[in-house]
Amino acid sequence: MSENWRKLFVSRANAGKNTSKKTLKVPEVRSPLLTNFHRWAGKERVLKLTGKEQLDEAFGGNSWNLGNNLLANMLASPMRTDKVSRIKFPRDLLIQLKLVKTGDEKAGKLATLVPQIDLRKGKTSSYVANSLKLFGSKKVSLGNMVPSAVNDSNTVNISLTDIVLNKDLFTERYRTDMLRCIEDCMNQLHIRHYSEVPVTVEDWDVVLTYSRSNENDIEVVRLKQLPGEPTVIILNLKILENDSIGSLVNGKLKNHDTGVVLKFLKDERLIRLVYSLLNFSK
Amino acid sequence: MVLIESKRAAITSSKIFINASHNFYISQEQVQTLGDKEFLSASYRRFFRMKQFVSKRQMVKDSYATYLRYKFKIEDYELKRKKVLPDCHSSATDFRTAVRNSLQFMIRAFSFGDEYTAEMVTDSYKCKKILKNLLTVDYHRNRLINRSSKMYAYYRRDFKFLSDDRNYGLRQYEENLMRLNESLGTRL
Repeated sequence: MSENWRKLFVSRANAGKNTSKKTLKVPEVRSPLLTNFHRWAGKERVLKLTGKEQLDEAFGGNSWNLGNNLLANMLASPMRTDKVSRIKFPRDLLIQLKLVKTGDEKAGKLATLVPQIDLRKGKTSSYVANSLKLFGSKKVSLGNMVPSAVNDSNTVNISLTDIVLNKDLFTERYRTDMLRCIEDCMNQLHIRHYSEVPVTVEDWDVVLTYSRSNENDIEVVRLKQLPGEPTVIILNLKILENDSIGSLVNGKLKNHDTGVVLKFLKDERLIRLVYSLLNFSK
Repeated sequence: MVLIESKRAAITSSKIFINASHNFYISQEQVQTLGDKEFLSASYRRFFRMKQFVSKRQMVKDSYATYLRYKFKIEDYELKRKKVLPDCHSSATDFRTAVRNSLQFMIRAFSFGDEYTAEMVTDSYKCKKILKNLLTVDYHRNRLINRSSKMYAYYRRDFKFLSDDRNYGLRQYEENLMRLNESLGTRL
C-alpha cells in the first residue's frame, strides 16, 4: 500500500521535455453575423473618409464655406408649416406671426395678430409665406393664420372675434416697419465704415446696389473682373423705391466699385432684412 | 470607441462608419472620359448608394429614392430654371460638372474624416440640413400630387405652379434652391 498510493498522482516525469505548449488560438471570425454587422447594427450611418488623398478624391478636399452663404443658411433653417399651403418650409423663408396683447384702444378685443420682423422665441407663433401678394389677395383670410396654440389652453378661451385681424398690419405697415429697420441698420453701418480699411470681395459676399438700369432684384453672379473670381449675391434695392435708402447705398455707404459689399457673419441682420423684404415685395 | 470592426465598416456605440471607396465618388477622369450613357448610370448608382446615409427611417429613404428617380428620369431642369429665374443667362456650369458637384454635395452631407477642418464640419452640417429640408418639401409636394391625376403635370412636368399665383411658399423655396444651385454649381 505504501508504494501504490504514489501512483494515484499524475506523473510529472515528462514535464521538462514538453516545453513548447500549444497556445490556444481564437479562430478567425467568419460568421456573417459579425463581418456584416453594419447591416443590422441599426445605427446612423456615416461615410468615413480616411486620409487627405481620399478627401481630395471625394470632394476636392476644400471647404465651400457654407456658414457664410446666405442662401445655404436660409435653406438649412428648421422647418415650419406654412399656415396657408400646409407645406413645411425652412423657417427663414416665412414670416412669423404672433398674438400681442391689445391695449385699451380697441374695446372688446384681447389680442392682435402681428407679423414679426425678427424671429422671436415662444410657442404661440405661426408662419406664413413671405409675400405681399398673398396678403393682398381676397381668398386668404387672416383667421386661418392665428397660432393654433391659443386653442390649447384650458383656462383661457380666445375666440376669433376677440382677435384683431387687420390686413394693413401685414401689407403697408409691415413694409414701412421693415424699411425703417433697414435704414437704422444702414445708419449704424455708416458709422462703422469710417474706421475700416478697403474691403476685398470674397465668395458669398452680399453686394447691395440701387440701380434702375438693372432689371433683376436678386442675382447670383461670378465677378470675373476681380481677383479670385468670387461668386457674390447682388441685391438690387430699386424695387423698394425709397430715395433715402437709395442715396445711402449709392453715396455714403458705397465701399467698392460694385456697390456696398457686406460680409454675412458681420452684417447678418441687415442682409436678412433686405433679402426678406425683396422677396416680400416681389 | 470602436466596438466591432470589419472590412467594410467600423461600428461604434452610436454610429456605423462605412469605409469609403471608389464606389462612392466619381473622379475627374471618369467625368471626362466616360460615354454619356455610362456616365449617367455610373452617377445614378453612386447617388443611390447614398440612400443608406440619408436616414434610418424607411419613409425618408423612400422619399430620397423617389426624388432621385424623378431627378434622373423625368425632370427638365433647363425648363425649370427658365421658369424660376427668367432673367438669367444660360447656366455657367455644364451638365457633367453639375452632376459631379451634386454628388459632392451628398458626400459632404454624409461623410466624416479625421482630417476635417472646422469649416468642413459646418459644411457637412449645412448640406445635411438642406438635403433633409428638401426631402421634406418634396414629400409634402408628393402628397399634393397624389390627390388628383392632373397635379403631376402641374408640379412636375410643366412647372405651372411657378407662374400662377397660388403657391407663393413653394415658389420662393424653388427660387432660393435654384439660386443656391447657381452659386454652388449643383443641380439639386
